[in-house]
Amino acid sequence: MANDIEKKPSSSTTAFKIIIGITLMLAGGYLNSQHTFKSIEEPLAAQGIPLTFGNTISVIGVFLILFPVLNSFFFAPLMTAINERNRELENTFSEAESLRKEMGDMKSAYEKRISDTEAEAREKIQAQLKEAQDLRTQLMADAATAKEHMIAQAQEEISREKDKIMNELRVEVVNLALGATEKLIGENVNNETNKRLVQEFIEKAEVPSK
Amino acid sequence: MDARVATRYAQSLFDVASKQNIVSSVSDDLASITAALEHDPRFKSFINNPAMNRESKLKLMEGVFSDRTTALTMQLFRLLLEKRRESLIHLVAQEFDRFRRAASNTLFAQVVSAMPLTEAEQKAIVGKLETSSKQKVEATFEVDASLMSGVKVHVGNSVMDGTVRGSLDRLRDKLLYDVLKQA
Repeated sequence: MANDIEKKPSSSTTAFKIIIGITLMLAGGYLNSQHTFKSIEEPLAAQGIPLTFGNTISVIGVFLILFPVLNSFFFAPLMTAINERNRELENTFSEAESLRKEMGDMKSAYEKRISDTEAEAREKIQAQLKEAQDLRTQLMADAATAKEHMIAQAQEEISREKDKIMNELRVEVVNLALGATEKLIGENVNNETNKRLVQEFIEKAEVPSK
Repeated sequence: MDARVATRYAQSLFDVASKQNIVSSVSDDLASITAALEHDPRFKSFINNPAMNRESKLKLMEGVFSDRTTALTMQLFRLLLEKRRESLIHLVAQEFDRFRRAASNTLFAQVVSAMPLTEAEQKAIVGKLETSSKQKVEATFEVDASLMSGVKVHVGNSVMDGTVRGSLDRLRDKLLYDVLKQA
């Protein structure tokens, strides 16, 4: 319907209507000046109906002229604007519908993505928990091994240190005993013992063969 | 390095002295020169001082030793001065004696005693060493009180130790070996 209203009459139709309108306007004026319908008009006027057929015909002619003009300059642009507005509204509704559908799709995709992400996160958490558990087990085993190694090392070191101290003690005992012996001998050494030792050396001395 | 150079000088000196049949005289010369250097520190520092010129050193040596040493010994000293090797005289003397002993099949013995030895004891020790080694023996005698008592003889690379100090050291080594072996 809008399209019908919007559709402009052809120029020949418009021209035809204008010519008819002019003709009717002129004919109405002429008929009015000739009092052609006086016999009808006077009884009607007497009955209180002031109808002038010539003027009426002229008015019809004027309307026939006026209508295409109004149609061209007022109704057609108005209808065009209304139709444009309707199209825009339809487009807007269509876009809104499209957007709503798109939003629905996006929502579904988003919900699916959230669901996938949650599943993936759960898997990763489980994997991390398992890895942490494995690591804990490994660390506990390593710590136990290190502890045993450190204990063994400490025991070995204690044993070594004990042996070292015992050896130092033995050496010290030897040194003390020999120091006392040396002192005792030193007090008893004299020229006679020296001569005796020299004599013994002379008797026993043997040059080693090469 | 110094020992190798000294050995070369000593070898050359010994060869020439042998040809001239003056090995013993040269040995005595070197012994008297080294003894003079040992006993007079001023003389030693003068000879070894690189700041002193060669002529002064040669003049002093000729003044002191020319009438008491062989010409060959003085010639050696001139050569050492010329080559700035005068500090090697002690080593050259030692090496020369080594060549001399080797040529005459003589052993060198260093005898160290806790108390001074009598001449008879010295002769007895040398005689015993000669009998034992079947070689002629040249010996030097020193006194070292730390040996406590007895005598010790170095011959070549061997040591014959008849001292109380040596006995105590051996006893100490034995005891330490035993107690550490037990550990």
